[in-house]
Amino acid sequence: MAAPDLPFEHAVDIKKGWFDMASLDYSAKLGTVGYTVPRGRVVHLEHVAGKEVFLPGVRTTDVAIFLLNGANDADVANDGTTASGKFVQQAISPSGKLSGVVATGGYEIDSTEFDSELSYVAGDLLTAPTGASSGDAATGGVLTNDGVTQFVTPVVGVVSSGKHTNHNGVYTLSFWSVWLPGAVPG
Amino acid sequence: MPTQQEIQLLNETLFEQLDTPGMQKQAIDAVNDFTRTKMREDGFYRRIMPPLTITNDELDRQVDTDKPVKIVDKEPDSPAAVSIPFATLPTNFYIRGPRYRVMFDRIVSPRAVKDVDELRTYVMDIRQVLSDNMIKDMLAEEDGKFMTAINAVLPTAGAPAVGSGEVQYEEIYGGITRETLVDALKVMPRTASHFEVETCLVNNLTIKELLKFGREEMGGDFSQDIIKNGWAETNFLNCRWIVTIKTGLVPTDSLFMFASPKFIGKNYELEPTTMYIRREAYMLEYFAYETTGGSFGHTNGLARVDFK
Repeated sequence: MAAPDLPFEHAVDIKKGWFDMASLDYSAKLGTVGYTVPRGRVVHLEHVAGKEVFLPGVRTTDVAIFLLNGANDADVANDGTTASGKFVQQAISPSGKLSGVVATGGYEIDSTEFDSELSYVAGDLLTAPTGASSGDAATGGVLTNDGVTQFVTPVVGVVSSGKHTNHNGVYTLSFWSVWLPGAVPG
Repeated sequence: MPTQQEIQLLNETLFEQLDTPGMQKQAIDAVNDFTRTKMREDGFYRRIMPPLTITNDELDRQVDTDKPVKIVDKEPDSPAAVSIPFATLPTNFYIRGPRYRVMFDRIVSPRAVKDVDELRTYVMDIRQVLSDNMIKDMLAEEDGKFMTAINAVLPTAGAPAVGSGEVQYEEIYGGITRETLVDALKVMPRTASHFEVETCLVNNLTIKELLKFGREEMGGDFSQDIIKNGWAETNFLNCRWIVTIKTGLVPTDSLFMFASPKFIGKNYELEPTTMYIRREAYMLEYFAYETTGGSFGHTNGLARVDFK
């Protein structure tokens, strides 16, 4: 049996700006991704085969969406087979849709999904690289300030109070969501 | 059918309730009564797998999530009995019962916003207008999820079904005749579970093929009755037939068959359909929502036939 994942190990807390009936959020199913996308990862919206899907990270002009749900959340997926392929159930619900807040909304966010090896100071620009293959599990949609150049790299946020250990003992990064398109493919 | 004066009186009553502080609950209840009736009439998922009300006490707590989850026991298989000579002991088997999980999500209608002064000019039953559009969206979503799950279990004609490993989706050639219909009803009982079909689901175009049946094919006055009056919901071939207009979900010339719900799975209703209505100054907003969860725990009770 896989080790359980506590609800706060991967998560975003929206410190300001959500929820309210006017808050800007968005829901879609996940596209083809070779790893389990946790809560808090940054995704963008893409049309694949005529359907809207989320894919990790942002490219030049993609608007970032910060996931409130992970791909394995109980209100997102109910996988119906064991590791060896034995049938357990076929879910009628949930539908597979994930939800997230859109970077163009006015939010201050506290996220576990960032490169915690780096240092962050207030005002640092943040991006989130793309990557949907199994080898991208550690970096796809993960926030970083590494190599971010204003007006060149697509920016998804600006660091506010920065890196800290939250009340659950998990490293998180606080930032304000913004949308600043890049000038070259991200 | 209420008169126009009665409808206007109903609308005024609703506005009065919304105008009075603390009276929003009564206005919501007025719409809720209507909502539930329509929901039962219109959604085929709810008719095939009637929703079971589940309370907080019946939910199963999980370590890794605080979201609602229900674990349901499945009937275990057991080794077959054998004949043995005298002075021989039976073999052992350790009791292990399989289970499956039902998880929940919310269905929500779009939120409608309107200036109440613009609503005053309507002479139709405003409560019906408020709820009908919401319910149509929610029913489509419920039925869509149900059919998505069925199509996942029965992906391709001639291929083994997910879970059972037996072919429960077949193509039958020869159009829709008495013979091909009866052949269709054999698909489900052929599986190891031997379930009989309890409910058939077709669309409103497929059912018209049955109107072509003659007296000798349909059976006596029944043929006369349906050619005269059209198809009314009735038992036919010892099955309940549900006809849907959702041709995008149930293709023409396809027949979906279901065993009794107790052999299929669970459809839980954690939060019944609720209409939220709020008025701020002269702006009215309303939307409907519900929380449900469903899973197929056993797939032998599902079958599909495409008539060619």
